[in-house]
Amino acid sequence: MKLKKNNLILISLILLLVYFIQLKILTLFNFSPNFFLASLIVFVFFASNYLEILFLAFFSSFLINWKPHLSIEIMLFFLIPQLIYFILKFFKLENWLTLLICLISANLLFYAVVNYHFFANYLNYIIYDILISTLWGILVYLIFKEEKLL
Amino acid sequence: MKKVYFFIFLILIAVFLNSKIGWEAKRYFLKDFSKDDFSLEKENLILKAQISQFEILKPFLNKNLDYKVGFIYSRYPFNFKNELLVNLGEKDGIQPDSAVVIPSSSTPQSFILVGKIKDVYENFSTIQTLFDSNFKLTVQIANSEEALLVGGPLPKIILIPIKNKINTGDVVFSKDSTLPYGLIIGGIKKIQNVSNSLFLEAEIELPYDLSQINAVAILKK
Repeated sequence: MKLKKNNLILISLILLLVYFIQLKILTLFNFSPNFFLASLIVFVFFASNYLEILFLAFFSSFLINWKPHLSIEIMLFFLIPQLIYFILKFFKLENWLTLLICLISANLLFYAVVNYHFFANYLNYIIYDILISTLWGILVYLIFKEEKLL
Repeated sequence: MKKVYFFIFLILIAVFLNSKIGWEAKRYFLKDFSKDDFSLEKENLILKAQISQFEILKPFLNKNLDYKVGFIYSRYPFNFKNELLVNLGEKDGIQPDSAVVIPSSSTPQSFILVGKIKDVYENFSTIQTLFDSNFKLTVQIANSEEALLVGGPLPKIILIPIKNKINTGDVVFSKDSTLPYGLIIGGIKKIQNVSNSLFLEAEIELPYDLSQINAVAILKK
């Protein structure tokens, strides 16, 4: 379940693709589940060392940098992969249930920190977002695990 | 025969060594746009760019209010907020809470509200759109009393007094102390009764597609 050598490029390209898909869905429907965050969390599960996590954190922060100014989202995207990595290392848990918990709690953390008003006014949107992005995350996890793509 | 080839080779060398003839020949073979051709091409490109910019800016012309026109750089990439980045900032005199509008195509001399300025930096600003869940604005529906517009993925109007007679299609416009009066927001799409309440709620239909907006006008305060 660990990354093979030189697969960081493949992961980076997949993340880039997922980011563009998310942007396109957002443009079309004015709302899109957080596929990018879900994919990033899944790839943390496949990383073998801290340097790879650091690279993914930097790369995702670089991708989502939509304005030339530091934002809370960038900091979260930088910190969340590292936090999950250390939790996984500490508790020695790397199964689909842990992934499920990580996906849900990361999404909830984002909504709580970035815009908690959603909880009051658009709770159903949060539920849809978490549900769809979690399913996406599990799907990506299963594809990469079963097909041994990484 | 070899002498002929050698002779042709020498001519070619001579042609390419001579700066002028060589350059012209090279340009011919490589289709290089240098000198006049290149400057014409460059000028053509610049004019094309200016025309396309003018096409975007044309609807903003001949309006009475004092405003600055800016281009949209990028859009917030997630669901958590709905913000746009515009190329006008502090040095252009932009201030927080200024109204951000687009021209109305149906009624000349009037603007449609897109959002308001949230953060101002030196060279750019962020716009909080009506689709942001933190966006709130006092509005008026046709001739009725004031109500509150609440932003979000589906912007809606709340706190509409039940005694007010409002209909589907009624125009909603701004009546907030922080923005100019009468900026068009949209039309009433669906009216909903809230149980055990003295107020109505209504869904609002906005007359634009946010993803199609390339330029906005920022009204000066």
